[in-house]
Amino acid sequence: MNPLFSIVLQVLGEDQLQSIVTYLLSFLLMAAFFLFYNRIQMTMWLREIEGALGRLKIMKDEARRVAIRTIKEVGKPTNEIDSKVDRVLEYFQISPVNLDPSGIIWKLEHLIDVRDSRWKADVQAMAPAASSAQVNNMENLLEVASGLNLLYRIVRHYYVFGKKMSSLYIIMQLQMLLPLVMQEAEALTGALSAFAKGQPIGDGAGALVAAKLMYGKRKRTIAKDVVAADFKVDGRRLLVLKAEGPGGNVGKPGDGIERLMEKNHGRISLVVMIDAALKLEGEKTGEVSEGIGAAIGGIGVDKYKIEEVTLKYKVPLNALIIKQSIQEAIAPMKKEISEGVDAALGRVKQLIQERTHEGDTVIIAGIGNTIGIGQ
Amino acid sequence: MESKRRRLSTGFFVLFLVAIALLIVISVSSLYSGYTLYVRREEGYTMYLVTGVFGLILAAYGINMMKNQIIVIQPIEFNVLTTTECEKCGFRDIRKFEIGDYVVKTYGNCPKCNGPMLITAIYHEDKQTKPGLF
Repeated sequence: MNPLFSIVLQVLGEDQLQSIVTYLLSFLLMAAFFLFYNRIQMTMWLREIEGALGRLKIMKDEARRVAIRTIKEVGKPTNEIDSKVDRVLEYFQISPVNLDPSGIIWKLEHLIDVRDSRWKADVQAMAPAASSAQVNNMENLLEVASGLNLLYRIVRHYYVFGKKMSSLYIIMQLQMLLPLVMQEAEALTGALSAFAKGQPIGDGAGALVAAKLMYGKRKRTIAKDVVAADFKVDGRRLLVLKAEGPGGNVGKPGDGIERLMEKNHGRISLVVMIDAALKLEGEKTGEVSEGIGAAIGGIGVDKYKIEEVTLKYKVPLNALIIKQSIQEAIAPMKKEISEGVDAALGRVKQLIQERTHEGDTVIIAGIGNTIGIGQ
Repeated sequence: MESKRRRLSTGFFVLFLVAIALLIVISVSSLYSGYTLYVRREEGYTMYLVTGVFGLILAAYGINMMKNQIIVIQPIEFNVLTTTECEKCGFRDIRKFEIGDYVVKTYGNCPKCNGPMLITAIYHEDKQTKPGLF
C-alpha cells in the first residue's frame, strides 16, 4: 500500500475517509452541475433537434421521391426530370413592399397569378401526357414537397446557426417550436398520398357541399378556374359556385362572387360561404358552425374582393364552417368530415329558408381545394 | 414511407452499447453488494445502493438518447373508400378507392336495376379513439 495512503488511513480511519470521499464527489458533481448546467441543457436540446431534423430530412426526401415518381407515371416525360423538380422545389416568392399598403392587394394578386402560371407551365413541361386535372394535382404535390423542403431548410438553418453561435436562446426557441413544426411537417407528409392519387382532402369540404348542390345542373365558367350553376329551389334563385374540379384547385372565388354580384346589379339577398376551418383542440371533427363574414383562407386577396363587393351592395354575408385540424385539412377526407358535408348541406337549405323569401337570389360559394371533387 | 435508420458509425454504436452494458453490470453488482451489506447489518451499504441506482438511471438515460438517434417513421397509409349510389333505386356500395375516382362521377351501372351509379363520397375511416374528459 502507498505509505501516504496508509498514513491518511491511520489518521482518519476507514469510515471517515469514505465519508470525505463521498462528500468530495458530491461537491464536485454539484459544482459541475452548477457550472455546466446550460451546456448540458443545450446539448440535450441539440440532440432533440438533431432527431427532428433527421425526421424532416426523411420526410422531404420522401416527398421529392413521390413527386418524381408521380410525374414519371402520369406525365410520361421525355427527358430527365429530377433536376427540374429540384429547381421547382427551391422556388421562392418575394412579398411586395408594404411600407405604403395602399394597393398591395393587387400587387399580391399579380404575384400569385404569375407564380401560379409559372408552376403550371413547369409541371406541364415536365409532364406532357398529363391532363389539366392531373397537372393541377401534380402542382399541389410539388407545393407539398416544396413546403417540406422549406421547413427542413429553416430548421436546419437555426440549428446550425445556434450551434455555431453556441446560443442557448436560439436553440431554446427552436426546441420549443419543434412540436408545432413537426405537426405541420406530418400534416404535409399525410397530404402526399392524397395529391398523388387525386383523393378529396378535408379542405375540400366546402367545395363538396357546392358540388352536391350543383350536381346535374348546367354549369359555366365565370372566373379563372371557377364554375357556377344557376337554378331554382323553393322559389329562390340559387347561384352556386366552386373551383373547377376534379383536379387540385382552389380557383378565384373572389372574382366569381364579384362577377355574379355585378352581373345581377347587386340584387342578391344573401351570400353564403362554406369552407373548412381549423377546429380548436377538443372540438369534434366535422362539426358545422354558422357565423358572419367571408369564410375563406389564403393570403387575403379573395377575402378582400368579397368583402368589398358585399359592402358595396350591402348584401349580408353568412358563413358556414366544417371544423377540422390542420392535419385533417390536407389529408384524405375523413368520414366525419364527409358526414359534416351532409350536415352543412342541410344547414345551407335551412339558412336559405329562414333568411330569404320566394323570388330572392342567393349566392352559395363552396370554398376550398376541389381535388377529387367534380361538379 | 419506409422505416430508416440514421447513419451512425458502427464502431461508435458498438462502443456505446458495451459501455451501457458495463454500466448496468457494475450498477447491478453494486446494488447487490449494498443489499448484502444491509442484510448483514454492516455499515457502508448506502453508498453501494446510491451508486447502483445512479448507475441504472445513467444507463436508462443513455439508452433513451440512443433511441432518439434511431429514426423510425411510420408509414402513413390511408384506407380510402369510395361510396357509390344508384341514381335510380338508391342501391349503395362501398369499395376501395381507385385512381380516377372523384365525387359526383358516374361510375358503371347498378347491379340491381342497371341504372347509373354515382360516386357520392370518398373518405377514409380512422380508428375510433376513446373520447377524453373534455
